[in-house]
Amino acid sequence: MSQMRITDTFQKVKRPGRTQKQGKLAQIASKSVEAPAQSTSDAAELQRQTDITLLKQFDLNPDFGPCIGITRLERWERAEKFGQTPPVDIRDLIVQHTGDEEYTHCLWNDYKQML
Amino acid sequence: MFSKDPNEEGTLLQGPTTGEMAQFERAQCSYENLSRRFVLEQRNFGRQYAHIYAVRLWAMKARLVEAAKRKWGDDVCIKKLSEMDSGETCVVIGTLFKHMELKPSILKDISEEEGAMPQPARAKYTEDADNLILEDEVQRVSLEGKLDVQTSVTGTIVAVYGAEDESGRFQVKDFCYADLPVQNSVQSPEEDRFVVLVSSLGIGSSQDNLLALQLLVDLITGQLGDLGDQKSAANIVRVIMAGNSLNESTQDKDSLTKAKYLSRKTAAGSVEAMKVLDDFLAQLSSCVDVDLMPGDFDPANHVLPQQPLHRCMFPRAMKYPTMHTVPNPYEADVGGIRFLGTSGQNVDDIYKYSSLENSLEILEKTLTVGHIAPTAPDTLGSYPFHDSDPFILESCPHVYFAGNQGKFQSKILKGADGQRALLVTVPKFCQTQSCVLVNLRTLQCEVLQVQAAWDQGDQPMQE
Repeated sequence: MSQMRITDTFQKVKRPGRTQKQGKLAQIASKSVEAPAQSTSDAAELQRQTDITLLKQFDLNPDFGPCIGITRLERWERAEKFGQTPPVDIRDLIVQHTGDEEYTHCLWNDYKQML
Repeated sequence: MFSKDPNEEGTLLQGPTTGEMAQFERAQCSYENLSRRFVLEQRNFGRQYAHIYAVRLWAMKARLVEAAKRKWGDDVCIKKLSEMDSGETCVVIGTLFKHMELKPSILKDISEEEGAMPQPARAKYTEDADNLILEDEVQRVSLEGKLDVQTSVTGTIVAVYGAEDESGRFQVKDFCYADLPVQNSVQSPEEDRFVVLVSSLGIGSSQDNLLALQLLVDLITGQLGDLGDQKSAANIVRVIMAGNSLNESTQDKDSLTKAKYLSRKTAAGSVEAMKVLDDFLAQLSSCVDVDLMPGDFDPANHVLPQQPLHRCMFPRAMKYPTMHTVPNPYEADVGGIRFLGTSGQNVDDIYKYSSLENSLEILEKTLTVGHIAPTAPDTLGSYPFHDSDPFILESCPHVYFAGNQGKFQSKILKGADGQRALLVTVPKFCQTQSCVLVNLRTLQCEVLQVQAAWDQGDQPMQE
């Protein structure tokens, strides 16, 4: 009796010009087309991460003065007032997310109870 | 000056004038209150003081760069501490910090492990081992050399010229402070106009001398003296009360430590004193503009800038539109002359933390370093500002005063750009029975003393 192979039942289909990895990516891509809601939340999360990283770098830049105890916008405006030229996109980021503490307050905000 | 015109007729003892009563119209002057920056809009005490130092350095740096270039030439190299190489001669701009072993520290006081006694209060906290440290935005360095440790105080912004030696200390060859800011041109009145500066009325102590105060009020309101005196008194356009209207003893510290049920029925010591003060203020402000500044012992907030006393404390005086409660420090423009002054806390604090003895010298020092209260917030309480330092001198005042000082002193300070400022230390009225009259036309000042005691029998009552 000849050995049964899995490919006997499931025909091996090899399409030209495509490696397996790309296939996987294509699968994910096709999935994401099917479920757009999930993907935007992923992207938003990614965007948020980069935003927060940018804002934290702003916090840690000593040129703009101490950051603890004041909001990021207050710090940005103070730096502007004293001619330190803080980056404008940081201000935009903060202004676009005024209800979100992670955007409006500095990275030590969680420690404010200890002050 | 205020003293009687010799050509003027009239002596104290004479028959009553017949016919129409003499009437003198009180002189008027333009007035603008410029103390807006000392009035707090929000009260958030949760912030750290790092902000005020950062802002102070930023705000004054440009002025120091200018001063440094003028002093050491345009091509002098101004560096940050982090960019400086050892041995390189350059200028560094930063905030002074005076390390003082004797400075009271809350941490030392509570370190019970060492069994240390609470530190005794002293008149001065200086000692020979004090040393200076310069801090810029991110780094600090010890200073040695020409900058005098004993007369310097923490919080001053300074530019030092010199080089760092092998041991890491900065050898100061020369130094400079910010230039005296520009002064508005004087548009002084054409006739004699006077502003009275008075401080430390000290109402509420056990040995009140209310007669002297009443005499002063009567003199200013023109109810005392002969026609000449009254004519001069009509030229007083304003009375500035520079703090401590109440005596120290009205501050009842007992109620803080006693249990509430024990002190429930006792009224605060300041209540009666405030009523007396209200009475005097009502008399004064019915006749002349009065500015009341809070001081150390007044029922106001403790930290600088002290906020104006609440109008509800003066139910009678506040009915007059001429009664103003103003903050401490206080800045105003009276008849084109710019007044700036405090109730003296800034001077008293520098006295404690430097070897300077003379209060006029200290007052002059604050003007030369370009900052009204450099020791705030280190040893002098200050509100934690974050976006401005209101104590920086933005423009040079014409009259710069400090209240509640031991004795009257005055001096004309002349700046490099033609500034001319009158420095005045206002004596304590309760001890000296004297106040200061500033003539707006000539920018000269004189003391007005009211004596209401029999002085060893030979000199009854003079004013």
